[in-house]
Amino acid sequence: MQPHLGDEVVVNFYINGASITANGMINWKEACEVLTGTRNYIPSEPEYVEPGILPANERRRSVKTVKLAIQVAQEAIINSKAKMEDLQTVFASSMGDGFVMDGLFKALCVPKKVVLPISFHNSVHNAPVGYWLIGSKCMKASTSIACKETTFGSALMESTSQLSVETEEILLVVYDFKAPEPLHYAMPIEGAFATAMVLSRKRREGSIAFVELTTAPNYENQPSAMDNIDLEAIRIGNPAARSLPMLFSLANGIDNEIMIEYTKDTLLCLNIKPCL
Amino acid sequence: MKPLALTSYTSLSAVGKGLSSLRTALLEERTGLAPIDLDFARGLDTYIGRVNNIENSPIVDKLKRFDCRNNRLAQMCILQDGFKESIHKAIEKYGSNRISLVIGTSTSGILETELAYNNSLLRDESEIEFFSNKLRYTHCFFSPAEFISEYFGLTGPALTISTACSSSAKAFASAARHIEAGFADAAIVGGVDSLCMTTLYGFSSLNIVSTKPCKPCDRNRDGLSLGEAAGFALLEKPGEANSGMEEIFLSGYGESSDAHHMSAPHPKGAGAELAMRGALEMSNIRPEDVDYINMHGTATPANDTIEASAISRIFGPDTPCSSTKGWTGHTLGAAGIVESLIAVVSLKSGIIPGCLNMIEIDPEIQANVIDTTVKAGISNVLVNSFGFGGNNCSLILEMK
Repeated sequence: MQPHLGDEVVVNFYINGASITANGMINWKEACEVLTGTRNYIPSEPEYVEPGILPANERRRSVKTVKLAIQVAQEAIINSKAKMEDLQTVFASSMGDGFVMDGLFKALCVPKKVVLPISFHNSVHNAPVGYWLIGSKCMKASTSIACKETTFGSALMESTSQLSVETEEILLVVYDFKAPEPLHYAMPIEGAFATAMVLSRKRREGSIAFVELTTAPNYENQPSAMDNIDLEAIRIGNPAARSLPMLFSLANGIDNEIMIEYTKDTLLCLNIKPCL
Repeated sequence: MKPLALTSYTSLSAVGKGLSSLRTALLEERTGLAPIDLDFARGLDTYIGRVNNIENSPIVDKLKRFDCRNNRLAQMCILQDGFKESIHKAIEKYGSNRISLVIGTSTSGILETELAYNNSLLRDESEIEFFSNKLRYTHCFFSPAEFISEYFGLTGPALTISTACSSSAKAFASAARHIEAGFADAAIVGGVDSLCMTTLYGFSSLNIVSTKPCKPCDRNRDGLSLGEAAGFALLEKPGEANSGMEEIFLSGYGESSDAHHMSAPHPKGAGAELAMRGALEMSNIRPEDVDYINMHGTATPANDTIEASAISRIFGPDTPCSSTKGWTGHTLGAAGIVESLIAVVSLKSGIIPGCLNMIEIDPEIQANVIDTTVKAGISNVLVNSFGFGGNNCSLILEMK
């Protein structure tokens, strides 16, 4: 059935701060240098920093996804001068933690099938947001979503739907990384990429960009690509990195119109304008 | 929020196929729990809520790549209670791009990967290819949403929510927002979780699985029984659906986080309380307007007392409550929708389900947990679903 005409969705929102931790980009400052072309992209592994906001027990138990997600969440909070305990959160990951899964599956191959409680905890898709809430002492609504290649676009829309209906400001965190074999072969996600953004319904002090978002049919549009070959490879290889064209616009502080994968037959069209 | 009508719905769990079997089981107080008899989980001493005949219900033809226990459960479910036909009609009416699809699952088709590891399928190239194709369409968290989307030819927003045991309760909240924000005109809400090694052995590792059928709220309760289930509902704006179909409404939801611990609930149930109060506020009803509370009630020693204390603080000692996990087991990511549909059956049949398997109420519980199914005219039901990571969601369903 053809899509109904005139059904495009329109949402407006502001971005108050962003962050990236990925291969070759350990934080937002470094990412800005790479995205503005003032620094060459070198594909080094990101650092997985111990999450200082967690109590000792949780810090000891935290795994790669948790570290990546909390790292970008914290940096976005700092960059946007938001209060972490006040923000509803949308966390998203296509795959979750491949290393934890691999360990769990191997344990389930041994006749006694002894699963460690910590592996079970960390295998749950919403483990990173669970740790984040413990660290941030935030009791607001939180969610954890997964949508394969459209994970970033869907998480962005999940966030804007919450802005439209029930909250002024929200934290969006999206992360994915390469799993060990054979999981990587089965679900080929490349490298490590995590990003977080603080979005709000209204402009506030410190807002960095205004976004007018509409949906557009994908039969007459293509998702935006990155000009830099290395960055384009990251964008294609990792569902969380589908955010790169948006982050590129923010890093360069330019007026830009970009397209991001959303549903089977639509893209998100983001008209991004810096707040001057 | 503006209330949304549930215009078509169905559920499949250990107590039976479709809503009439569910109703009969509730009235007859017949449990679906039985001693574990799964080939892939030998050596465990527990009861499970298993759905019969999944093994003989493959997904075939052009959707074959989605074939796995979890998606089979989803497919079996949508073939019941005229649900499939309702969705076809909704697509005719709204367009395939204007229906949002939100599915809750905690483990999706993870059993496929567990079995692949166990069978060491990776011994030669062709088997690697087989393994790979299966996983992308089965184990992947998005799998049930992608499967249902392709099954019906839907092209609107499609989303998997995976917040453990609150997943499909939260799917209602997301779907309601999609409609309110104008992303869609209607929504399909679903939940599906199937028995697998990860949850059977994982929950066992936490020492919270009972060796007997679970006994929610009982003074001697000693853990949960796991179950598998699927449930689906179509949400439409009031006045949009065919007349006569608008009886049951989602009138509010409340979501909160414990900010306390990955698996233990907040000791005072502060997060649970916030979620319930949020749902009441959104529904714009008072605590005394709630006629029945379907508890999360997992039958773990910690959950039931804490949940009951939060209930007592808001509702006092009188509002009838029960956990229905004695019928279905804890169906994890499907629990939110399955228990919401138990609420729907209760509203439509004028019953309040008892807390099956509770023999003697825990003396620490002050809430009015009822031990047997009773007839009662009821209008508002509150449904609680709380998950790992301190993720809480309460829903209010209303019959008009």
